[in-house]
Amino acid sequence: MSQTKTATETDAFVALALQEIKHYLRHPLFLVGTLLTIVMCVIGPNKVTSSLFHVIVPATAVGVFGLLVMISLVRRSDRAHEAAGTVTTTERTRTLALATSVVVPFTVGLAFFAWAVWAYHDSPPAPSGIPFGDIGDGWAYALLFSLGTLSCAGGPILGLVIGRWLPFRGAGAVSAVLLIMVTIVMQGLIEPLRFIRVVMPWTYFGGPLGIEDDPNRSLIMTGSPGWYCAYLIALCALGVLVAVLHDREQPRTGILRALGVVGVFAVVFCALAMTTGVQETMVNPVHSTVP
Amino acid sequence: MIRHATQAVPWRLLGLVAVLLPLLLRTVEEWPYTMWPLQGIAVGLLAGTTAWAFDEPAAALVDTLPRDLAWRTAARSGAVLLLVACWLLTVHWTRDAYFGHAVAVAVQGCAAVLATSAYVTWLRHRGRATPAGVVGPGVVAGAAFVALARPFADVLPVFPYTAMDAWSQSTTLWVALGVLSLGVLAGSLRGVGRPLRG
Repeated sequence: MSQTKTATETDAFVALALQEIKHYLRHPLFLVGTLLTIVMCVIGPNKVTSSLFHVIVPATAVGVFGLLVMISLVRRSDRAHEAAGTVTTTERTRTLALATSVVVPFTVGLAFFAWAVWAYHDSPPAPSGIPFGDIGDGWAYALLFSLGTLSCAGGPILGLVIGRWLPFRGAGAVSAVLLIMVTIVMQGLIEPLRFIRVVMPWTYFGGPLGIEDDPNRSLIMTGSPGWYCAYLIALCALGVLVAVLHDREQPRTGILRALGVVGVFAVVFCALAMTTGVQETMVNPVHSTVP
Repeated sequence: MIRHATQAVPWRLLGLVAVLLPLLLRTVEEWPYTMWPLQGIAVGLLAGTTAWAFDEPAAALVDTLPRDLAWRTAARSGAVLLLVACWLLTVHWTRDAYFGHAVAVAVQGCAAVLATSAYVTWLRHRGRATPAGVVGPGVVAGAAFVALARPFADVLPVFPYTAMDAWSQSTTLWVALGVLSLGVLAGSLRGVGRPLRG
């Protein structure tokens, strides 16, 4: 009996996951966001910064748009479940199926990463850009992966959490605006917040932040983008667990334990992202006006 | 009409946005050069919220009422006007943030509200009871993208930045959008629309 129930639940999960993947693929906001990312790639890398600042496009057009896409998929899933009348699948199964659909934006993020790494080597940053000094290509790859690729998965997962826990109309739009606002404040432009900024799910690691006699001079900020990747992956896992936790009709002890373990990992990774790598803001010795 | 608006408008969302708008623009005023994208995002939030104010989730009930689309739109417009008043007051309060172009920023918000109102009213005229589910997130996402990534900012200055940017060209674009929206709104409110569906 128990085996039959598990098999039915697994079958339902596979069918629902495939369905949610199709829904995600067909969502207009996802299609528009992907198109914008493709257009940006076609336009090509920047002469000074190469592909390093292009991360803002997939982060916004696939990540933030993805937050809104996922909330609409959650509402759609709930409406379909209510319309079905009988309890055919648990909320947990439906949540996990929705989480599986994140594979769609993540694939776009991976494709962006491949393009960005190629562009970074094909058209390297100018000497006045970033990275410079002892900072190598690994730093740039980690930056591109964390800000350009993981953000494509992180946005929709946050949307899943919001969709499950905040059921009111407009919750997605308000959450997206709040997320962007806090992210901009914590992107390293405000000096006192620079060291702790890696607690945010999206932040810059360098750029033309300027110094006193050169307002566009390139700087590299504190922190390790490599550990930041690990931190973001832990945040994504936490997000899925928090979304799954919403189903009160299923046993939650295991989920709570997993939340505790992943939470500890997230704190450790965040501390490592903050306290390893570059530990003092580095100033590019080359003036920003040098081509 | 007031009783209809009391029941029909998502006041909790509007209240939340009325708190968020001053927060966003006050942040821009504090750090205008670095927080500038928040100004465009605030315009998007204002316009997106307008879409939700016109949604009619109880379509089956609404269709039985002896009230046409124009009456129901007018009833809900009061809430949108309150939101616009909040926008104008906030822009006035934070007027030092906009490099001497507070009026242009105020126009952006008003035109965006008009455009969204016109579009959702046209969709409701065509029978869509709850267009905000798509339009609201779409407007917020679009504004966020334009404000953050600034695509084609040289030729299409949607949200100009710093005193040297093309503010007058931008205001012309927004005013044109507002005028066009008024035409669409008036056209949608005339005549009998299709029956609402979910």
